[in-house]
Amino acid sequence: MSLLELRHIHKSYPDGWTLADVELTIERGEIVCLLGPSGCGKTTLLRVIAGLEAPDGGQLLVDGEDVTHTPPHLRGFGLMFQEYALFPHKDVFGNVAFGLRMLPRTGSRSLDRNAIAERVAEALTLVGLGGFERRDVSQLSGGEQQRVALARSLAPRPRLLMLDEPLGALDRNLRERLLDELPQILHQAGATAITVTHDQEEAFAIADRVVLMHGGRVVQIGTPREVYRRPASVWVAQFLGLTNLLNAEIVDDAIETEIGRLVVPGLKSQISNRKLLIRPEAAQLGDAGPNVVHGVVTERSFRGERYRLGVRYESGIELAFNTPANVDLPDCGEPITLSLDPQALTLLPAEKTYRT
Amino acid sequence: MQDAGKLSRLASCILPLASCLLPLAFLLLFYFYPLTSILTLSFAPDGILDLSALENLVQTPRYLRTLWFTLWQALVSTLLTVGLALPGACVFARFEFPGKSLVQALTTIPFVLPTIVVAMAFSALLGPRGLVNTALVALLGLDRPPLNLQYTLTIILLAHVFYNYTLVLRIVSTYWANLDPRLTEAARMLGASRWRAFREVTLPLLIPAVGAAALLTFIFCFTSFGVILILGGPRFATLEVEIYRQTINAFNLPLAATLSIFQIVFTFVLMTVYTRLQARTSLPLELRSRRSTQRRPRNWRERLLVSANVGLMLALLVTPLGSLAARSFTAESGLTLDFYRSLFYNPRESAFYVPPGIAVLNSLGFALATTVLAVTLGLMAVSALAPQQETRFLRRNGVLRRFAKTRFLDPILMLPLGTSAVTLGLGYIVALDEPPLDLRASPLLVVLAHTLVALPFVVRSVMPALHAISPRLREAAGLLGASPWRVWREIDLPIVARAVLVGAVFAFTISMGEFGATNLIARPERPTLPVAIYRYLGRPGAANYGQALAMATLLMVVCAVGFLVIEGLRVGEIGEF
Repeated sequence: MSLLELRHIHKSYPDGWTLADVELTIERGEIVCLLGPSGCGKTTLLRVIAGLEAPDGGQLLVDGEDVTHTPPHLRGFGLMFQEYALFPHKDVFGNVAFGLRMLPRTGSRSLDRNAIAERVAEALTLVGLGGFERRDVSQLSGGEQQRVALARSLAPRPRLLMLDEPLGALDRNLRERLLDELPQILHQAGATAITVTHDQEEAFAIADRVVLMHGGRVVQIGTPREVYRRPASVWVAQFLGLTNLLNAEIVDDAIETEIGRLVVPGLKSQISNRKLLIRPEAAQLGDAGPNVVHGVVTERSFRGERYRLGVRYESGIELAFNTPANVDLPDCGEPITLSLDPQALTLLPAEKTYRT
Repeated sequence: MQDAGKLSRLASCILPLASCLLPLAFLLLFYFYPLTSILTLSFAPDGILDLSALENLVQTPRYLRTLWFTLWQALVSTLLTVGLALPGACVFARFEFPGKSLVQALTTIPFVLPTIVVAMAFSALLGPRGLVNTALVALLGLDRPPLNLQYTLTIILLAHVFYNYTLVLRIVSTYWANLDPRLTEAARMLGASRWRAFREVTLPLLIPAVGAAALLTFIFCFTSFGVILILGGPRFATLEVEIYRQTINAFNLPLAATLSIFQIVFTFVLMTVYTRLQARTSLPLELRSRRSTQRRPRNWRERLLVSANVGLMLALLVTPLGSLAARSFTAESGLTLDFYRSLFYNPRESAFYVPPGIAVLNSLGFALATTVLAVTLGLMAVSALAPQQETRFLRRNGVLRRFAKTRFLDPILMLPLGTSAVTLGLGYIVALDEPPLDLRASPLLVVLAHTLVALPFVVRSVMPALHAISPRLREAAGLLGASPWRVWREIDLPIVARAVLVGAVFAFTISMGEFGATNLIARPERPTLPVAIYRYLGRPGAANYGQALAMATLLMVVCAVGFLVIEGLRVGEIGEF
């Protein structure tokens, strides 16, 4: 049985904004990330799961048991808030111990003083802050506060841990480091977790599965790889920063586009599709393979491990590619011949283009 | 050329010095001198230390009982007020609802109402001739008023709650609104029930604000005068009332002085604690903008909380004031304007009788004079305290500079806030009735007392505005091409002018409503509005009571209008206490 199951969750606000018909299941031990631009409903969904907001309709099942109307403190979930919400009147120990002191909540036994101290020390060690018990939370750095918040929400061993923009308030270097550590800590603690972010890099690095949300709806669910390779819609592609989108018309066993005739695998099953996505890593210099296109270099910028290459085609359309930095490219204004990997081409359903 | 330079240099020396010394001299003469006189009268009436007055006080059970009553009624009033106002503060802090700003404005009005008006309002609502009794008599056909609340503890406590509810509401809700609601949510997610989250997270975080509000309420109730005198009748006396009675009825000035010392020591200790607490409320935690912490009530529980509290506010604050106004227009024969009409004529043609209309004019005169004096002194003090006033003269003169820098003028200017009005009045009677300063017969005495009470309010209104003008604003204006004159006109003036106006209106309304000191020092033939109301209450008959009601209503309107002006003029949160 799945740990968490959301059935037709619906919530609307007086200003017309809604969370519409959200369906989602989460398995034990899994890290799921809700990904979407701000205002897409991901934080609201998180708060509905937490019990801080009541849905207008739908059902929330935990281990098959309906908890839709259970108050938050009886759900046995943990939530790490954006900017942490550490209790300013308690020290690190007091913060981490808080949930442990509340423990006789869902059938579990209440803890004595020693057991609490032990569990606090354990949680702090897990996040790399052993011995920080008596520090004042206001004296901690941003990264340390983040770890205390994580320890606080992990300490009571919640059935489900939710993290709202867990790395949002940190500077870039710290973020990079925690991006690696966070999934490790979560897996080590054996936690089932839902994180929320607007940053695809963060989502891809942390999550086993990504749930893309847009306008209060779930638009795609899949592993990071699936989502990136096969975006379910033009909007998803654009949100992920994939901007090479062409109008496509199916002619025989190939497709006709603004840059020429291209071969795409698995065409037969996708008769009604009309947009073609070319991922930036699709291009190789030269005329090998079935999809050879000719254009003029408009931009060539060195980005360290790769080149960012802009190419304009006869129809006036411009595409952007990433090419390895060790391959020499023609100068701006020179003609260029590229071969496009059929595996890096995806046909998307035509729909109106969302703006992110 | 050289002479002009010298002259202007001289001016730049004298002006800041004068603006610093004049307010100081005022305080010395009209605050410290009277207080010292009280001290001398109490402990050394004949020039040598004599503690017999103190001994007498401690050994007389009656005064100990007075002290005891003063303490416990203040404590009960404070607990009641805080208990009632906390849910209201939560509603204001956390919820958005239609008409909220109106309710907020209404609930703040008691803050500026004179005690005499509040006392009259409760008398008009719950007294033997009050609306409730009249209605009950008419409805049930009784021959006597069924509700007997006049001269009871209940009506005193009610009036104290009325007065201070607003205070607690304002202080606590402002602080609460800035508290991050996610802290409570975090506690909930960690397994705390609603009540436990409140007890373990919200309440501890609110403690500085609740403490400050409670302490201020306690101080106000501890020094309560008008409410006890009018609503309590002869049975109840706080220290303040006892000081008044000893002065006026028994003319036992040494005893009154000793009681005053007691009270001064007590309030000063409390005020010190309060300032400490207030300093803590002003540097709290991670505060959030109010917008992100307030929302509309979502379920029946929240809607009930909001409507119950708004209902309580309206019932508590609007009904007494409403019935005061209503009663002033009703005689036994029905609706009437008689009470207002009779304000301006003297029925007995008596020389000692002062028609109420004259009292209105007296009050206006005193209030205008007070406003001018308080604003002038206040501006002087503020400009002496302002950071950018460091002239070359001050820079050269180390002592004066430190004087200006350490800003010890500021706390001194706040002292009168912590001194009770009756004590002040007593001090004036004791100190200013003999040469070299014999002002006993001068109407100036009232103006001086009112100015002293109003001065801290003026300073508190203006100073933050002046401090709020960052030197960068002036620099920016200068760089944009404004001449120094334009800078002053376009930057300083608009910002400070409103604050000065706020201070002026404060001074005006305070002077209009001042009762404790005025009642002691006003000449019988020159009563102010509150004093006249009190006198009319002392006389039998429906007509006198009606005139008192009419005058109290007038006073209420003046103060409420003044308050609305203040609210409208405030720049942001500047001038909060």
